[in-house]
Amino acid sequence: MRQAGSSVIVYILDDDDAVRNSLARLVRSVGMEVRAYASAKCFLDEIKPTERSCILLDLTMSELTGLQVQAELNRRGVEIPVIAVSARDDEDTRSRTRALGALMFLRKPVDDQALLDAINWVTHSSRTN
Amino acid sequence: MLNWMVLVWVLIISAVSVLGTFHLLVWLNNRKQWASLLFAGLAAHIAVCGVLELGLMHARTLEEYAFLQRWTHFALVPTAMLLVGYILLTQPARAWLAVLVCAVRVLMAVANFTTGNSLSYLRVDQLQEVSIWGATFSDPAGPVNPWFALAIFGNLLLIAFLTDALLASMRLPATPENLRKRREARAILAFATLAIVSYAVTVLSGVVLPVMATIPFFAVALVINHHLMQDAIEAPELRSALVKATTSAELSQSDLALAEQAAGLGLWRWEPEQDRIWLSVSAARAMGHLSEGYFDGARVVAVVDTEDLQRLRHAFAAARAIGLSDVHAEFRVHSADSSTRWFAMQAKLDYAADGRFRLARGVLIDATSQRAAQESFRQVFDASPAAMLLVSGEGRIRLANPRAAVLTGYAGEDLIDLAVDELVPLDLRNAHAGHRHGYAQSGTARVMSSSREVGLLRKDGTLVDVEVALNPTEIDKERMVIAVISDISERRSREREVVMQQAALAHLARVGLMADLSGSLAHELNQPLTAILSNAQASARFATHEPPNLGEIREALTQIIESSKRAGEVIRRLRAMLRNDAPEFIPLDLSEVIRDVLQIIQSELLDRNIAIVTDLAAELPLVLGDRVQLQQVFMNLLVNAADAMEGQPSGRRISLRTRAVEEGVLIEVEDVGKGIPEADLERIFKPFVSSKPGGLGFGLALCTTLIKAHHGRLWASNNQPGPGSTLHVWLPSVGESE
Repeated sequence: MRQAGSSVIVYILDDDDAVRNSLARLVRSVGMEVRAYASAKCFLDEIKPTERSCILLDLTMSELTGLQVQAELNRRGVEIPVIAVSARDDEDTRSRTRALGALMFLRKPVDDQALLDAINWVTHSSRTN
Repeated sequence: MLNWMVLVWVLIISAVSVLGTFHLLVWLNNRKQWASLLFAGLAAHIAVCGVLELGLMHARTLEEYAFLQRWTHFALVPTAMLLVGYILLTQPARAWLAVLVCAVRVLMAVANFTTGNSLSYLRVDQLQEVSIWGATFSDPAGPVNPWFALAIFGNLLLIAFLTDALLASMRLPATPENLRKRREARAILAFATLAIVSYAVTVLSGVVLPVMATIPFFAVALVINHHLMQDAIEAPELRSALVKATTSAELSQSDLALAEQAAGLGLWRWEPEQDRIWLSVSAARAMGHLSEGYFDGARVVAVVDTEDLQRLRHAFAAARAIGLSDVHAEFRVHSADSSTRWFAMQAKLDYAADGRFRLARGVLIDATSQRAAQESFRQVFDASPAAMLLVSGEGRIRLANPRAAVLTGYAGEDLIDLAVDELVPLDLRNAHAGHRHGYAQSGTARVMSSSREVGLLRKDGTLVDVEVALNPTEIDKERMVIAVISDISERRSREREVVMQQAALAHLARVGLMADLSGSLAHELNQPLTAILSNAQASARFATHEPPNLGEIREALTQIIESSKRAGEVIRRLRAMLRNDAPEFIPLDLSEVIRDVLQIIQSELLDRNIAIVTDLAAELPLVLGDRVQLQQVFMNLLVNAADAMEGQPSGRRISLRTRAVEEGVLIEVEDVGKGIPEADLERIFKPFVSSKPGGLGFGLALCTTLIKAHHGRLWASNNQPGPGSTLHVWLPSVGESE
């Protein structure tokens, strides 16, 4: 499916190569543009706020934790909706998600439809906002 | 009329009477001195003769003279007989000759009274007064009695008798006593002969002389007196010599007794012919008698133990059979108060020239305390709960206690004199014999009590694990070895059990650890699963594109395969940790082992916001170890390090280092947590010590056990400077690193 107008850019931030590549592939297969980063630093260097973009953020990344990434984004005043992704789904994880200000939480392994729905919702929501 | 002749005779009579009386008193004092009695009698008769001769000298009528003559002759008979008796008593004279002489004298006495006036004169026809130097005496004249020949014969016989005695005396060995006897005999012979000859002359020839037999007889008396007095003179000397001898004998006796007692020796002498035994003071007391002396053989051995007596008799019989002169034996004596004492006896056997056994002499020593010591030793030896053997220098077993019999499977008596090598397993037998010879020849009393664990070959051929402690000792100057053998098969099996239990515990701990890390593991599995799912779903979508994007699909499939393998690895690692296999020691690169560990535990640590800093040496020397156990240890240490930083808001970090050190590899797990109290730095490795509430405290204790099994070391230190502590593991390396 192709969206009319500007395409959605999906930023993927996950240090596990296989997971990152598979998620990227999935996003590509639905026709969205994907920019995948293994390290938060590279991501932060290159991110530009554009309309209709979102971030798929892996919570269990090393180096800079998701929280720190969010804090950095906030500091820069970058407002891109974040979808948190994690293998764990417990109280601790959820509270962290909320702390991040992520709009959604997805558990791994991620179902393709769930992911797409999440992306659509998040990007539309932001557009609406 | 008192003339010189009368004076002389009176003096002689007085002297001889005094001597006679003296010797009578001597005899009265000591009835055994027959010689003195005889002399007293002789002296009395000489006195009588003297009186009669005085009478003869002053006889004025024929009748008076004849009467006195007759009685004078008669008086001479007992005189002569007494002399003969004395000679018989004191000299080696012939008894039959003496009897003959006396018999003839009796005949002479008879003839004296029956034939004529007297034996010398048939008749006294006239009497003449003769004067010698102013002294007058009566001299008879008349026919000689033909029976005077009998007198002459009798006198010759007497001379013969005396001569014979003298000759016999001269044949005796020349002791002072015998020399005196000879002198006496000679003197008596001389004077008796003189007496006889002088009288015969007066009778037969015309020489005018008074009857003066008394004078030579007085001389005889003096000689005899002198001889008898010798004893009296010597008596005091003899007595003091006797006293001295007796005293010195008594002294040596008491010295002997003292020596006996001091040495605890008793002396004894057995005279088999009379079956009597002489026992000294000590020996007598030992055998239950009050004083020394001769005892009936049977009575002496009555107190000896019957069994021991049997052996004793055998020993003597055996010795006698082959002419042996030394016998040694030990026996027990049961005294009346029912105490028992042990005695050691040493005997010397004396044989006569013809080989006949004459007597035995020897010493007796109280050996009770020695035996008691031996008995005590024996009791301790037998009662010992460990098997004990006393082995001689040549490797023969001399003594074995009951436990040794049980352990070796041999009967007690079979062990005695068995070669100790028989108990050594076949493959070690030569080496063992070598050790023994070396020791026997070394000559020094080396202490070789290091216990060794060896196998013992029992009688039925089975082997038993034992621990042997060897101690050299000297018994009766012979070098021997006391071997204390402990059965450690039970200990061994308990040791094996402990090892098994430790392995089981380690396994349980691993399972627990895995359970604790289940979150981490789940995460490890989730990653590949996510990749697989997303790749598969993407492929499905790409497949519906017009045209299908085969490139993406191909790549997706590759990734799926890889992720599946990755998931499989995680499963494999998990299974490895959960397995309860026996440990397998192989050469390992510890850096690699730790990387594996990190794979498992990584997400857990990330989840806890703990950063990991690694400094793993690239070319570590290999360590011989069991992969699973070592991974367990490191995982434990990492979890501990993570726990140490619990509650810390930020800055949680674990540093993990490996590097090669002297003869091994050093691994360090460093945290920045709350540290370990100084006092606990060693305590934490003990079981039941835990810093966690509800923690069992086994983790580090188990790690210690596992590291020890790898011949390594595990210790803790607090970081200087800065917070936190470090756990250090050192493991020995083997060979070169690859």
